[in-house]
Amino acid sequence: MSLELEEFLLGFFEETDEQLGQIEEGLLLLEKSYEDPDLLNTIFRAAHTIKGNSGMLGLPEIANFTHRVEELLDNMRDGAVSPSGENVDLLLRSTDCLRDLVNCAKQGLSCETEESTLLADQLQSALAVSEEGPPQTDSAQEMPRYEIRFTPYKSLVRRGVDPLLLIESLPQVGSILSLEMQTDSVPDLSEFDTQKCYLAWCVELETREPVQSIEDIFEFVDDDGQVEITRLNPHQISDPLPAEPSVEQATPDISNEPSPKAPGNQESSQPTVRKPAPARSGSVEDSNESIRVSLKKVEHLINTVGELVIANSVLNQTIGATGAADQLPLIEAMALVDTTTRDLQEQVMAVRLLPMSTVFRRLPRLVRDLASELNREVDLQICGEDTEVDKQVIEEIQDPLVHLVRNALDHGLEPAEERLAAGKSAQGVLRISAFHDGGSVAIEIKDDGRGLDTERIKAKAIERGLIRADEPLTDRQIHALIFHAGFSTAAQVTKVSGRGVGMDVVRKNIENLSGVVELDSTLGKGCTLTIKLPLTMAILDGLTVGLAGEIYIIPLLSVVESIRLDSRQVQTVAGKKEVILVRNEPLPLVRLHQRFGVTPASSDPCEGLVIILEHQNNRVGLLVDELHGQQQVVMKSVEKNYQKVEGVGGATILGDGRVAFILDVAGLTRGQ
Amino acid sequence: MSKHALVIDDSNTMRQMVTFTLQDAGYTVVEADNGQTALDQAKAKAFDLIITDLNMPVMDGITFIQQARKDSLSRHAPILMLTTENAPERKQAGKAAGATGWIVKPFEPATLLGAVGKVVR
Repeated sequence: MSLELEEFLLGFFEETDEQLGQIEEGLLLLEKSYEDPDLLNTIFRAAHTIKGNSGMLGLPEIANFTHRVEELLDNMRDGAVSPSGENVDLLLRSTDCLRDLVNCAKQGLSCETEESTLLADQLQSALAVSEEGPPQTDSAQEMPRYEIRFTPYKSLVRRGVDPLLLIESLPQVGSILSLEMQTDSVPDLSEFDTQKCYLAWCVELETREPVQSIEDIFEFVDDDGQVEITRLNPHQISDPLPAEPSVEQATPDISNEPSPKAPGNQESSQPTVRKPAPARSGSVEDSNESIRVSLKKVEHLINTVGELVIANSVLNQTIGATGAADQLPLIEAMALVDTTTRDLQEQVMAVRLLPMSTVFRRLPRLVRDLASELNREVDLQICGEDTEVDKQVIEEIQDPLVHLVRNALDHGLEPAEERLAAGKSAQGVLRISAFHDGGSVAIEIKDDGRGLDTERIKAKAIERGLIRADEPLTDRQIHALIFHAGFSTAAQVTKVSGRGVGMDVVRKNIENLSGVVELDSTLGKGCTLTIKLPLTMAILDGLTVGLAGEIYIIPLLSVVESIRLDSRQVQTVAGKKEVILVRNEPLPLVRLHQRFGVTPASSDPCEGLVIILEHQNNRVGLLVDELHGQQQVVMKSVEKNYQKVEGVGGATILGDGRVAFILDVAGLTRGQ
Repeated sequence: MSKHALVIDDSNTMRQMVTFTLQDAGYTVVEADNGQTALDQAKAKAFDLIITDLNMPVMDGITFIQQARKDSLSRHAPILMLTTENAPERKQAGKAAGATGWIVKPFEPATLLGAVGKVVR
């Protein structure tokens, strides 16, 4: 069971994350439009499921806390409590707290925080009326005897009830002293309906068990006098134990149910409020049929397909080399294998893809909170939630994205007065979009705030000793400074932006995903940050170049262009550092052969080829012998299989079986 | 021959919990995540037991029970609904629709099997 339980827990955490997202999303909508019963139902249902699941999985803190949340939601649904801003706020904070509790549970901790206790109290006091029935106790005397009259409705069997099964269960509780079946109402055969129950029973039972356990057997049929249980002990005869509705059913319920006592009437007691859930963004995909597969299996599959792709190109080259290429059937067969392999590869990759909405869903809440904290008016526009991205990217992009949104609100968008003074609308626009851009995914964070102030950045960078005062820098290079470790410092730490993470951490996180950040800013007009990420981490679009007889691969994402130099473009600065002039922009020249200590075909930069690489708004020219082409390669880690090699980000196996290194562009541009 | 059960819940966790418990007790289980899919299943096959959640998208549990009782191969099957402690009116509605019994969430596997024992031989 423990293994199953663990599996349940994993599933529970995943599901709860989704539901908390739904609750949050719903609450934010609720804040905007007060009266939408479906919306409240959706929120309620999510909370309800969390409560049920957590209770069952032995997570009482979560269950109890969610119970409070659910109660308040229920009150709102009944109209007893208004979904005012204050209450929604309380619920939002409770959602956060719940997320914390769930995170604790993930680590196997059970932690009732001060906050959760406090919030639970607040939730309690926000309720309309709180009523609690007294606990029911029932103690039995010595060997009591009971008379049980069971007179089922004729329609009972239509509900799938088997009356005999109930009678047969009685010996589990006590010993049957007498049993009588009443057949009075059985009609003539001609009128006999097999869909009806015409029998009734009267049983005398002796037991020490509480009467509850007898009632329990008849739990599902015990209403409206179908079952009468009477205690027969002499001194209690005058006071028979009631077979009345139990306490929970006695709760007054006026709101709905015009004729509560009509169990035979199917029409009168329709479900009260519930309609099918509205087709909201999340629910559509949730209802898709799906299976849960462990990530390991998927990764194994992807790896195997990767090997297949390589094997396929080895086969292709071998056929070409052996001269079998003139055999038409063979070529046709190979072409088929080619397309199928590519298809397979794409589809297997798609398994790992998730929509960006998983990440974007959290943003409205974040922006709402930040906007009120920072006193900004923000129009948040989100588009491209459907853009699919690798699961790993989804997981790791969250923090950087949150940070960038914080920055945009804190440093980018101005307060309303300042905006009005600058001739802008009071409400700032923050637009976050995701889209596919060739083989990569781009996430754009665009604000129409004040933009980066080049002069101030420069001044601060000089103050911090990041650059020399006389260093000639382009705007782009200056902007890139904000990604420098040590740029963001205590002086600008506010509660919002300064959580100890600077833009350098953001950059590093994105680089770890083999992505790049681009920045485009106009003073006074706003700032656009674009994160470009590979669609998948396992396969890389590369430019293949030749140097000293070997083949190297450069991630295509970093390649700007390739040029053949003219001798006038090559210059030497300060006697040793080589630069090349590309459209009047001086770029450092990196001779790859020097980095790797190999002998190039020619050491004259004008005979080789220069690839312009860009990284963090820094550009360099990389000198290689020749350009081969463009190829998708399956990335293998060098570090894991051998050790870290400077300038090498990974390796791959080429079509002919040779190993080629994948260059680490970040390493090559660093220190230039 | 093992008994066949149909388990309906839109929550994966809950559904699996019920499924595993029933499987442990020797049932062969078919799952559905809303009333409509479940109804299609119930129309095609006579189940020995049906356990359904009430609040679900697409088709809720009450409607499912009504429909299953009206016209399906499983119209005589015992149907247990998954309810909560504080919704007596839902329980009534469920019974009126034709539910055999109910299980109050949250529950232990033993409670579930207890309820099942009351409706299945």
